[in-house]
Amino acid sequence: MTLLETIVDVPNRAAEYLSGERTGDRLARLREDGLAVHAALASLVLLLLFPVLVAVIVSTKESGIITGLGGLVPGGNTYANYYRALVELEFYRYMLNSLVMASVVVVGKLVVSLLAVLAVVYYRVPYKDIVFLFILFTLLLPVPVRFVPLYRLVTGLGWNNTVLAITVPYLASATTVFVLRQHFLSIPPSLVENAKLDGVGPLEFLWRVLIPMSKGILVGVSVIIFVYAWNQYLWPLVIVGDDLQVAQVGLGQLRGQAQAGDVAWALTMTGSVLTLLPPLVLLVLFRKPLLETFSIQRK
Amino acid sequence: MATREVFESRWQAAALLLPTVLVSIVFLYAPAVRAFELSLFEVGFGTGEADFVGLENYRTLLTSSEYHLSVLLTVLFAVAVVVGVMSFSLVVSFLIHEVEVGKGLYLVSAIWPYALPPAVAGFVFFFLLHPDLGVLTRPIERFGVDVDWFSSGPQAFALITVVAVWKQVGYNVIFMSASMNNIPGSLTETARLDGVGRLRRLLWVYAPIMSPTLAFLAVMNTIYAFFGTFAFIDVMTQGGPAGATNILIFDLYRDALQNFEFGVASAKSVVLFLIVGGLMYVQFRVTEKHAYYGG
Amino acid sequence: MARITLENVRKEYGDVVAVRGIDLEVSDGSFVVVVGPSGCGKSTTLRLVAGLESVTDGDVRKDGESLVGVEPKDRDVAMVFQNYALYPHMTARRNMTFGAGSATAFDDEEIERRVTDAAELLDIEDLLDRKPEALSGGERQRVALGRAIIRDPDVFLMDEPLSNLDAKLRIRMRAELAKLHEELRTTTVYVTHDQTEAMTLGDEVVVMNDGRVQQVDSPQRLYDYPANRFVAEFIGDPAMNTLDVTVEAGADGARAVHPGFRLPLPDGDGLDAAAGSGAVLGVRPEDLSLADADSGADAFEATVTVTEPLGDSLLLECRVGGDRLKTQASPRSDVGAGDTVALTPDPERLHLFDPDSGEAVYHSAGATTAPDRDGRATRSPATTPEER
Repeated sequence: MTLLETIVDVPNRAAEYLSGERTGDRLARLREDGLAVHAALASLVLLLLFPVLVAVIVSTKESGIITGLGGLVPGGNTYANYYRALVELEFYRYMLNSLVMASVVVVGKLVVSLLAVLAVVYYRVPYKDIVFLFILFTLLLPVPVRFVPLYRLVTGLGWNNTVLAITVPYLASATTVFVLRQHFLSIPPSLVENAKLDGVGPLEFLWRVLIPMSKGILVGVSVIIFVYAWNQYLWPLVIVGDDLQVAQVGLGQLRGQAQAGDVAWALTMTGSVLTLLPPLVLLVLFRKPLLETFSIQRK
Repeated sequence: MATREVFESRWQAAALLLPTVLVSIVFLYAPAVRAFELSLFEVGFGTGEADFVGLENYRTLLTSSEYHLSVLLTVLFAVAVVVGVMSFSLVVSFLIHEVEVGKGLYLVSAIWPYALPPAVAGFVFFFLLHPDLGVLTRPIERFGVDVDWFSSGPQAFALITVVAVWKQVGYNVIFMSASMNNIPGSLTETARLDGVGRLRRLLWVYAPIMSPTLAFLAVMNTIYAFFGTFAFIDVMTQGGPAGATNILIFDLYRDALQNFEFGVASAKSVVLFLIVGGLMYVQFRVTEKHAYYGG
Repeated sequence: MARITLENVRKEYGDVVAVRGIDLEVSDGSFVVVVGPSGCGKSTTLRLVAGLESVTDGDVRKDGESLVGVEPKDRDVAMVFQNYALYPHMTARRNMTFGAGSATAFDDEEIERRVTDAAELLDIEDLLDRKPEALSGGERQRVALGRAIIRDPDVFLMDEPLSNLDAKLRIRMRAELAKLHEELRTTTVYVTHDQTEAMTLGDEVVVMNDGRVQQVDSPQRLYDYPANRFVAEFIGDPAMNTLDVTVEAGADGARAVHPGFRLPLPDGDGLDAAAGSGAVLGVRPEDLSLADADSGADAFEATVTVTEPLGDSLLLECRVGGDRLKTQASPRSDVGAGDTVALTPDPERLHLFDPDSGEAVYHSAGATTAPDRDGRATRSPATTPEER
């Protein structure tokens, strides 16, 4: 079984397991794998999950102060905490801002990159390869490398504290262009030749042939961009104020606001769980196209 | 000679490329060039007036023991993160590769930190290991360690390394698992028939075949250690105590937005660029050299 | 319906010359097959006609009007590709109709009607709502043909359309293509590397090599009167034997002299010119027969080195005076490796080629019956009961 098949097969296997029909069989197979291997793997995975499990448990408690492992039992304050964080302390605003930023970046990057890749792959024009390299080379220029001038530029444009500031600078994407190009190069040339013979134009070809043929990759790329945008921290921190601030930075504000009372930690963990949720849900839901896309990126 | 390049209109191609190229120039290339330019100036606080000072800012960096410490810390940090995350991920990926039952579940449980926002990672660990209130503080202190990373530099450094490793495991497992899955089953079977044990199979059969992926990950992890770890520092240690976690990117941020030393900060940007550029170059060369391995 | 003319067509990709100046006339309603080894420029030639490539030099004309600079969609041609070029996310019907609106002047209703007709013609009515992944290779090829047919183009261009099919299906589709052409009578240019396909399908076969046209002729004439050594060896399976000989003129006529034999050559054009110099003798394996013991002076001896039973015949690889030679014997002949056999060539089936240029200088068949270019055999119906 390939990696992907295995993952996709999880629900079936879970159902099989729950139905109990093959429990004996499963035990035998567990033994075949080696119980020690499973024990080791389970502990390592648990180690990875432990911090977040703690965060989830604490977010259900009234007081966040637990000073020992014995205190790690869910409390009854779940609704109150999430309500307080989201509504009273207005954490929903940060979530919304992050959502807007990430969505705009996803859509913007996809549109802008699809157009560029259409030209890079399907046009016979001079200097095309140089333009492609020019786009790829932006990989060498993460925010910290151009931090100060970018700050001054965006401020100079009067964009500070606008959605433009946390979206437009992200629209050019070497990674997206690269992955889409690799994918389009795997589509047989005869398809576009056939379209050309019929007089189907480039945009119609993109819209009716390339995009429908690339659904999986586009979903995978979207998840990658979403996670990337959602996890941006430094740039939003410096370029937008509290009104437009994103969830990750908002967590700090939440801590500050909540610190007055003794529930600070429960609320901070509530915020943390909330901030983790959207990218995590996307990852779990779209793991198949995501892994497919990653396998292209490595090429 | 079949070709995909069936469209020939130059202005159409230019129009399609325009958005990406425009954003690249305005928000990526121009600021990068400007950073280089700014690094040659001393920029007045508040006024924004710039005096040309040549390489003075670089000389400042060369002679600043604080900056030297920051460079040293960052290199140590990067090495610790790369080694830590790659060994942990290699073991996890290998064990997942070895089992049949529950494979998919294990995999999802191992790759999820890819989606983890860094600030969340920072806050959760801040809470877990808070010197007074942390859930894990008491259990750890039972082993005779005094958890005190608010004032102990080495502890703070260790803490951000652990957090940085934790967050990056998912990304590594994604690529390592895919790479291991590409190893022909016949190789595994041959090794098994020869009675090669698990550990030796991992180190002497799998790892060499996976070397292009491992090289790729080593570079991506280094870049991550340099640039992707700002949030941990900002949330947990603010570069302290006494500069013990003041890695380059945080140092740069402070110079620019707390001390408003735009000139020096730009010089630091240029140094960072050279480091990324060097790493990318190394990756390119290593990948090229190992291209014949495939996978 | 249209006539295609290529005039001194050249195509260069940078330093690489794919097509080195070819002239070709495809008459209205004919089925012309372009055949040659891979890299010979045959596909490029087809793509030049389609307009997917532009000529570096020369002219491509349709019914006398130049196509240079004319957009592919305005050339009124339809292409069928080796990999079918079906859009995987569209049904067979949608694959056929997508682009038909911009490629033709038909309205939607007319297109629908034409799809129905084409589906009936190709026997794919039940498959129209399936996507390519649910179709077999042969079915996909039919859909691709249907897509070309509903456009009612002046010319069909087919680029190795059967090469992705398995051997059995290829033979069946070959017959169907021939039948289809009988019905539609649309001018067709068909490119293949498979000489059997070329021989069975083409009214006329164009043999290409190294960017040049080697010979244009009917299949039988191509086989009987190859213009040069390349054509002689490319057409026919097993390939024609070629041996270095010297041509000697004598009182009793000319002879091809080889360390293993002295073969009399019937009088004919070109023989006088070849006399006294070296030449390459060409003789097809099936034109060499195992002679009886008293077969006379024309027989020569050969040593069998390998035998390959093909079922319907026995292929013998022999050694003659240091050269290797293939011949076909009757299937159950009692011959084994190491045996010495006597071989008699059919005197009417000998060819001589210039050793340097490779051009044919003499065909022994031409000695008795002069080649009659216009009186060539027409293609026999390709659909035989065994093939269906």
